[in-house]
Amino acid sequence: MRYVHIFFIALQDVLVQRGRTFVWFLVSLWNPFIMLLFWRGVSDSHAFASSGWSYAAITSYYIFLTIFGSLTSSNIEEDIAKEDILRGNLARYILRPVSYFWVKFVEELPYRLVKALYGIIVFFVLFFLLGNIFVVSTSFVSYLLFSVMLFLAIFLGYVMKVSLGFLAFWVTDVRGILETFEVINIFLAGYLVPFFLAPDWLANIAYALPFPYIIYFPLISFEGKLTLIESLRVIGIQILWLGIFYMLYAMLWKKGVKKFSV
Amino acid sequence: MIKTLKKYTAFYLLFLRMNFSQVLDNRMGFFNDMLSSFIWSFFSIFTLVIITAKTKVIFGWTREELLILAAMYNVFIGFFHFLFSGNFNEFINVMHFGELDTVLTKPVDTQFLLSFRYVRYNNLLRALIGIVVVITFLFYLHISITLQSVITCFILLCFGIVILYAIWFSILTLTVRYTNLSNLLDFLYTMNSMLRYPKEVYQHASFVIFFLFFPMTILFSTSVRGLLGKVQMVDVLILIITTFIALVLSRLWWKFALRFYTSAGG
Repeated sequence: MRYVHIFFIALQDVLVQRGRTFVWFLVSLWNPFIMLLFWRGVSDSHAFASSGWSYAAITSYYIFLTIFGSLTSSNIEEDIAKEDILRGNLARYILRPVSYFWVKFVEELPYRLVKALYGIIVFFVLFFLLGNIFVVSTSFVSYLLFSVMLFLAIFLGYVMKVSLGFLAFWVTDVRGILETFEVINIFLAGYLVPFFLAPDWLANIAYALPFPYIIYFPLISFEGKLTLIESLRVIGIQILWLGIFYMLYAMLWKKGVKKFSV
Repeated sequence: MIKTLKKYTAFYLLFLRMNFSQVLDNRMGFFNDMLSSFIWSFFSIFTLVIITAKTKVIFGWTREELLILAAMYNVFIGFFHFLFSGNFNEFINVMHFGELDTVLTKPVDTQFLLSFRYVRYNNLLRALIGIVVVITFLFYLHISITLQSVITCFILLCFGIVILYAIWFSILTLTVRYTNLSNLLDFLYTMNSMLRYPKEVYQHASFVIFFLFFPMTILFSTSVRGLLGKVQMVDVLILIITTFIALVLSRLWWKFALRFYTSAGG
């Protein structure tokens, strides 16, 4: 129950700072918007024709990317590293009878939800202006599996970023590490291009890592581009990565808290 | 006028020396910043490698030409960040923490102090990487350039940097009134990414989009065309006029916004 209260307090903060949240939404919308304009130049090329994708599908991809990206991508690592660990705010979390993991999760969740809401508004505006150009699945089973994928993706993205933020227990200046990670994430999560438009070697590297399981696979599942077997396989891999990162989180937390001093 | 120019030149040289001293004081931080610059240089170019992997011609630009554009972007943005981004980071903090009073009371123009006080030497690495990659591609593609085209490119680059400065300064001026919008800076860093792509991307979108993005579309691509010897006199004139208008408007907007500043005690 206490986490519900924390969630609503954080939601109040986010709603008070609507302008700020809207700017963050613009940040997440900008690159997909530019990529959409860019892909107009190649929409009748061989790459599109041979893949079964169309410009409408690309448009769907980038619009849904802003919605699902807002939900699944966490930016908690900088807050944990700079504010909590390096500035010592972690002390107040340790002293409280709450789990740091869950408090940070529910504190960030309203921000993600409001950003996603802005994305949904943009979707409806475009739907009104352009008509039904969006590619979505028509299968109930597909939506069910997508929901499971999205739920797992939200947690996978969060645990991964929390573990990254914990590096600040040992490294005083984490900027370089966080920026390197961000660049890798952009390339391997599907933020830049859907993988059918990327080189095959990049797609193969990405599939072996957790990044596309946070945004890319849930997104194409929503568009109905995964079969039942493929969806179950993605869910299995998400659970595996979630397990790995949770164990990493637990280990880093245990060692880091011993090292932490205000 | 000459006396004022000498005074502000002396100030700027002092700022350059002070910032260099800080680099020497905090060498580890500087190396961290250099790493960051290297990563983003790599990102700019690798992005184009990825998105042109299966489509070799986009809006009439070949893959190699797009990569030259991406490399030139590193040169452009490297110099811009060297000159201004440290100042804009500090600008946000000044507005957020209500410290503009201390800046306003200084016997120096406020816009000058907020725009030129800090210099980020690590970004010169990004510009250097861009120059090396451009030279490599020009050599690989057997594109010959002249000293005249290099000088033209450099001059047009300077105009482009001024336009981008005016746009950034104008947008961040909003934080005088809305101090909690410190993340506008993050938006501006993201907005810069549109410079990596040719002007035709926005021209073919719609008139409204092209009109809105017009200053951004010309501030960088004109210099690239200058390097390749393809710039027209009308493009240069448009760039110069746009620079002048952008600078004047940013100055007027700043003066107007200061009327709404309430100090920390106000």
